[in-house]
Amino acid sequence: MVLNKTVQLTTAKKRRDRKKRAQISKLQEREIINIDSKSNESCLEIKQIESSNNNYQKAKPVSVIPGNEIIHNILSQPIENNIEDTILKPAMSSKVVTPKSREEVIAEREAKKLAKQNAKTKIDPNKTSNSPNTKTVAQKEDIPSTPKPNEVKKAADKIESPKSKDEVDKAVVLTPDVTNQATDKTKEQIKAEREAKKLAKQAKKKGIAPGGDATAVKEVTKQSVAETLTNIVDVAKEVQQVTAKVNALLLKVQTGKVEEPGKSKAELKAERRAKQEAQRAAKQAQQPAPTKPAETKTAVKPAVQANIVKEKSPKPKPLEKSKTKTQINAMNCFEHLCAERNEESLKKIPLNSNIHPAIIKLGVQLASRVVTGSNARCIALLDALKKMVTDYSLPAKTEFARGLESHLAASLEYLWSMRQPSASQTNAVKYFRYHLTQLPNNVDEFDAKKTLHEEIDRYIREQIDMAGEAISIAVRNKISSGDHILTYGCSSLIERILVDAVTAGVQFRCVVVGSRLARAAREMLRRLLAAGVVCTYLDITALSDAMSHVNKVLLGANSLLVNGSVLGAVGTAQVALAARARNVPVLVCCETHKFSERVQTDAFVYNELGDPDALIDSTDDNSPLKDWRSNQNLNLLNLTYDVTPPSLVTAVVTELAILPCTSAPVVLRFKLSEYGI
Amino acid sequence: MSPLSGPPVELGEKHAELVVKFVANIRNSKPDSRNVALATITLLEQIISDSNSATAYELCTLVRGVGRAVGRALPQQLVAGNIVRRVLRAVRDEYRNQADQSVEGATSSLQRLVLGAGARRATLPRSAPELDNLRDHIAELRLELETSSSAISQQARQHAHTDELILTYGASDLAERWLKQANSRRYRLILAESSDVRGSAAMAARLSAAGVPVTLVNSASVTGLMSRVNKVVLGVSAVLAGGAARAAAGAHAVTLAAKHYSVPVIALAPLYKLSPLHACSQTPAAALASPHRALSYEYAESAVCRPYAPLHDSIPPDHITLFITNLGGSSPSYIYRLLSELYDPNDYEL
Repeated sequence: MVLNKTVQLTTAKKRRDRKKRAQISKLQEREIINIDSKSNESCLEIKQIESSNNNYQKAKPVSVIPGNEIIHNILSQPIENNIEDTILKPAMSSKVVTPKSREEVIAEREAKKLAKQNAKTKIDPNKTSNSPNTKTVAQKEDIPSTPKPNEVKKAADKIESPKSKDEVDKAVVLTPDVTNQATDKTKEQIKAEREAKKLAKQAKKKGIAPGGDATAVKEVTKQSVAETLTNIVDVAKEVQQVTAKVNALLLKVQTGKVEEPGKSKAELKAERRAKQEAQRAAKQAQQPAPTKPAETKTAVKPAVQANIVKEKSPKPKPLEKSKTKTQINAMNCFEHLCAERNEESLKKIPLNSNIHPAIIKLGVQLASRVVTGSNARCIALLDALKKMVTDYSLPAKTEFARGLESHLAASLEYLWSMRQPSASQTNAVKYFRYHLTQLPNNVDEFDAKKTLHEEIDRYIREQIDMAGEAISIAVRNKISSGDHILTYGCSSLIERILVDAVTAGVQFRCVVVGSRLARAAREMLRRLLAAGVVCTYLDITALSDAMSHVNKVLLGANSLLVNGSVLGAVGTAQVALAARARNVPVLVCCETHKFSERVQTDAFVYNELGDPDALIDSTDDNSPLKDWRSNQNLNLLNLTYDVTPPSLVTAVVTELAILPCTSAPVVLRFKLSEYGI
Repeated sequence: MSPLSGPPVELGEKHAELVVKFVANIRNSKPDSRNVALATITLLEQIISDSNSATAYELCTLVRGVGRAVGRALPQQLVAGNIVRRVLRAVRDEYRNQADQSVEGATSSLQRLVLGAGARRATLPRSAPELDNLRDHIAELRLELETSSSAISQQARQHAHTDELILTYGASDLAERWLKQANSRRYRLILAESSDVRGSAAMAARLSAAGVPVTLVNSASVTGLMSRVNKVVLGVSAVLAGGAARAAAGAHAVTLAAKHYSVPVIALAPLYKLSPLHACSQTPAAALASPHRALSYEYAESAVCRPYAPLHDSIPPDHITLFITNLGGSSPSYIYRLLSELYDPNDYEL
């Protein structure tokens, strides 16, 4: 046994070492790309994009025509081999595309030269080391002309993902120290980033469309006749997709002619849809599917005809069709949330140079869920507002309050588009606005800034810090020695309460409940253990079983709604329900600054959708869910909030008192008179 | 007297060896309950055919001895005990018929039911056995096992209607079959993943491939979604005497939410999962899974805190609307009757 263990240990060690090495190498890679992106590539990329865009517009019609030919061929040629022929055609079309890429290469070289010159003039040690990297990037971008689909894909990925991330990081890093110049720069970068993405998309599409079909040809030669009968439907699909792709390309050309920044939402949507379609088609093509012979013709014909009808009105028809398909299958009750989420990515556009870097940084942090938790989000917002106020320069002939108000509105629009505001944030903004409007008309700029700073500091101190302390004291009286206290998820307030109780010498065990998707609970566990709290950890599936040993349940809340419902992290309602089933008292801890005017009775009307990919088991390399986006019947849903009805909550602990849930409106009225919230 | 503490029955060396082999097989593989049941039947068949000239009493004692040994070694596999009880019942019926044709075996009158059966030995004759009939009984039992899941899934269309939202929890072969069979009703499915994440994901993938619109969610969001759900379908691992059920950890929270929103819960349970144990005798039920299910070993905290991951949840009878067995649907309050039909009351305690 001992031997066995040691063996296991050593293997585990090895594995860990390997992982470390892999991580280090990854890091190095990233660094390289980082350095790369730190160069003045923004101009470089813009150049490339311009050139490639031109090429794109020139080249596209050429590549579209063979797509049309496919259909004509299928219709006209009655022979067995005609599908092979037609599938060969797109492969040919890739050769047609090559001259464009040559032009692209030239443009890139020019861009490279430019970059080198820039680097020389600036004489920065970082930037001089850049040139080889930019070269590699350029080489990567050459690849789309070659017909190997996989490499193309990789290259496109490389170009797309890490850079864009780094750009964002950079924006975050840069923004706090520099002010106006920095904003200009970030704006440029973001523009460049967006365009780089577009480029990558285009490259992908170009690479995939011919490449996928080329592989299909190989498949065709290999497949035996016996399998053909079963695959007829697949072929039909394939043809449909090819035509869809063609449609998408047509669309692309049309939209491409329109001036880039002036794209309407519909067009952007269409673009995205086209991209998805292309990806799906590529995936399908990679799977061992297509075959031919005589019988296929009959099966294919109707589909093709249908497609031709569609092609005559090329615009959004295929898109609409696929959309309705997904709508049928998905959870319809979350459609409105999906729409919000899609628009969210669109809304990233209204970024302009007026927005303070601190706000931009916060926006990115909110969107990427770096800053989570009601209190943290509120404090981060107030902090950013403070910085904004400090750096705000009053334009001539405007009142301070009015000028700042409009500035604030723009910033908030940006922030809320990155992530919907929490109740604590809306309350903080209300408070800030209230004090902004309270400023006298002829106030000196310096004085105004000073008062606003003081008010913000006061808010953080009174509403968050001291309120937390008051709640902590109130709850500590409710925790007795030997208790088992159950908490769910991560809440800074609950953490504070428990840590305070331990330092006050109360002996108890804390049962931390988490769910697989939420890292928050593990973070909570880590913090509690560091503070010396004795802990048990369980997954939410083990909840009912463990509840029999629990004396009290302490829950944090995202906000408390006027009707007494508690808006909490998803799973909160389940915990409260399990506690009620065992008659365990449930205390919800919630400062009054999180009380919200909203009313809500279920988790559907307002919610946020988390990243659905989080549901895929990361430890499982070939998880069956990996290609869920291409599977119309499969849908992953990751909710962020749920609503606990007041009947399941014993009491709410606020800094004012321990209250029943239903006293929320009273508290709100009281606050309104005091703070203008 | 607890079921496992009676006068000890010594198994012969040969039989003991067989039992040990059986237990080892089940422990080493990761079997589903149907395979355990089938393996138990094979074991009992072998043992019975070995003891050729035994009297009915001896045979019963032997089978019960095997049942005890298996129950002690595999307290989680209630199915094995159930099969042993079924075989005991078969032995009793067979010999009763043989000894006295006038005694009505399974079709007992109400009076007999009320007055109850006699003592353990009273009904067992000491005549020489007829093993062929017993083999027929066992073959019948085996057939029932093999057809049970299809018998249950065939009833699916009776229970699903068009465009409803069904929620199921975790991976279960039986539930999967049932849901596939119900697909002609064009319902939509929410699959809440249990602690068996991979199994749930695989099931979602298979169901979606079969044409069922599946939405996979985390188990934490079940309560939030429950208000929209029309029906909860669960595969259970055992049905207990009072109409309670035992299912994968987390199922209790699901049925609790269903109860809160008055959503009907349908539990799929083939007859071999009916166990005469009561839900209050929790001791063998409280089995724990490996702690890494709760908190992966890669996190340093798992060394400092106490991760806790139970294997099963016990679902009280009032959470379940309907049990679907191979014989049709029955409410939890009727389970006791099914039990008395399946097993001889004398064998409730092995």
